[in-house]
Amino acid sequence: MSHPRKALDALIHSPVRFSLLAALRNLEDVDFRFLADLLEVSDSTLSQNLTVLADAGLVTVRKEPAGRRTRTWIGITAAGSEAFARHLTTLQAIVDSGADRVAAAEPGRRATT
Amino acid sequence: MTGNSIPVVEAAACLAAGDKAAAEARRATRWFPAFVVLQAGLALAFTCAVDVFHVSYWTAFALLVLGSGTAWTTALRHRVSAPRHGLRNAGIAVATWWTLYTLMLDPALQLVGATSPWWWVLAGLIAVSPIGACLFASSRR
Repeated sequence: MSHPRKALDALIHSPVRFSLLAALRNLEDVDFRFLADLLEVSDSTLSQNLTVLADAGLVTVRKEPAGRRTRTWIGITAAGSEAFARHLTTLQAIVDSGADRVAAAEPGRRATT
Repeated sequence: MTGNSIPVVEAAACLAAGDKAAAEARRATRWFPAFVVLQAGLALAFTCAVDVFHVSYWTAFALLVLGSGTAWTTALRHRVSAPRHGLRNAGIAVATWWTLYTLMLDPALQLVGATSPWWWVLAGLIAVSPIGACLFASSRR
């Protein structure tokens, strides 16, 4: 059986992109500004990471005129939601396998805690 | 980064960071459903106060304007975290409620000579339904 780490998606695993998808999975389309504030990242960092995710088809980026300005709306795609769920499952499997190894190495430890 | 190995602690930290981001996102946006429910409640309270409990029209209207004004001022201050088309649709829904009730349902009930206050409660509920629809994400697609 292959190690669960091989199922991790390097595209999603970056801290900013991971948090971005985690937030988007719980929201409807959101404003760029809101997302930058929520994740505490600069506009350029968010923009670069969104471009990577949008190119991979994991998020949608929509620009709409709002008066004299333009508002940018970000949403997660179905493919993005599925890829993120797979990534979470893999991470959980890694955590669980680590916990099992600790329990096997120290059988008395779990019983006492 | 995901090359040869990923320590268990790193995986656990990732999961924790994801949970934190998701929780913060939910917390930052949960005001919108509360705003919609408040606006719908104010609208229904106005129609019931005027046509069921026979409160003075201008007193009820003043309270409606005061309550809605406060709710909208707060909502506009947080508009950056509102869902796409959320406030626009809520505004259209409030205008629809007003038109539907004051220009159509209330005059129609008076025209047919309805006497039971329940007819006005029903009319109020029907008129307020466009505001209630703003609770659903599908109304903004």
